[in-house]
Amino acid sequence: MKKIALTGLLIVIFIAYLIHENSESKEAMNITAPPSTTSVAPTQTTDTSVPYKDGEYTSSVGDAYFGPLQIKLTISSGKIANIDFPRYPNDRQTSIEINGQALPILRQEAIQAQGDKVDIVTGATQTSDAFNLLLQETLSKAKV
Amino acid sequence: MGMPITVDIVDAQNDEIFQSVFDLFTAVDNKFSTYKTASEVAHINRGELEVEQYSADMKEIVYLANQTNYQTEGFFDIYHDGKMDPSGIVKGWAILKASNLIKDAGFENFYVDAGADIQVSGKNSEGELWKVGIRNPLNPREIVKVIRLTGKGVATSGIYERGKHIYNPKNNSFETDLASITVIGPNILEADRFATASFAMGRMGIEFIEAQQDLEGYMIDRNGLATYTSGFERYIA
Repeated sequence: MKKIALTGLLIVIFIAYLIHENSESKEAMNITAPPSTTSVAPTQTTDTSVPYKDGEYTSSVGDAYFGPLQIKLTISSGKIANIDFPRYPNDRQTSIEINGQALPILRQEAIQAQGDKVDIVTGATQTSDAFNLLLQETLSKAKV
Repeated sequence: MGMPITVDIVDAQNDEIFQSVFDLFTAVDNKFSTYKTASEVAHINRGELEVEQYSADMKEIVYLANQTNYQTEGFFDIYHDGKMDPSGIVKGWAILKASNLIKDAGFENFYVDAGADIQVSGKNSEGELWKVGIRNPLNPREIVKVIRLTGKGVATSGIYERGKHIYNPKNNSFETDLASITVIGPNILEADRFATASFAMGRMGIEFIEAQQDLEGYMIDRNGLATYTSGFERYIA
């Protein structure tokens, strides 16, 4: 497994959670890529008690391998209330070629963007590493 | 590990259970992180621990890693250049532990997502099977497949998580024409360990998954061509 050597990388684990009221209007968090709003409670391994100053904080533009990434945090009541992505990575154009070598029982198809809303997304991107760095950078601006 | 974790528990009334889940992931990270100098993995890699001195969790991980190595004929290997890096199996193992913690607390409807590997249980807040989108490895803005499922684990191994070079332990090479492989397994530990291994196999990976009764897979190559197993279709939304 390739080790990613990033100096000063802090291990940030944060949990986004929804507390569902036991009522009629339940709403799951519908995640489409990229997420435009997310409610997260940031948690670091050492520092959960220090509040952040309310306001909006924008990171520098980082490199998320597929392209540039920039985040904007909204701090409200000392916690992250919203995360926006003013810049989000994009890809290169690729062409599709057909490979006729698959086993007969395996199926093949050209991938196509799906419009459905989903609950969850699988397929980690290197965006998450760049995201962590930018989150750290931006939170440090917001410290009391 | 440094990855985002999302937990959604339908009908949770307070954040007590979330705190327990968070504490679990913190403890796992403290023990298994290759970045933390005080982690058990770091101690092992500095030659400071004999196998008999490993913690119970570490012994379990090593056992599972060895089993996976055997089942995949060497394509899964936590040792590289004499150092241990169990991240290819710890993530799924930790998510499963977290999900068992949530079940033990009496919740049935939830998901745990750590680094985009997911364990789903019960139904979403609309009373339906959980809808999981597979991200396009060639364009992370897009979802290219939507699956509906419950009581399963979904793990994806791909170029986006490892960078341009993917290490194949069998022939010490870094080449692959795969972009990603998504594996659906009976739980996230199974999905995760076999996603990691099958990705290292290259194009043969999807054939390996097809050959396993309890696994289904969706592989995307660098040209945007997807190949999927015969049983995968039942999950397509």
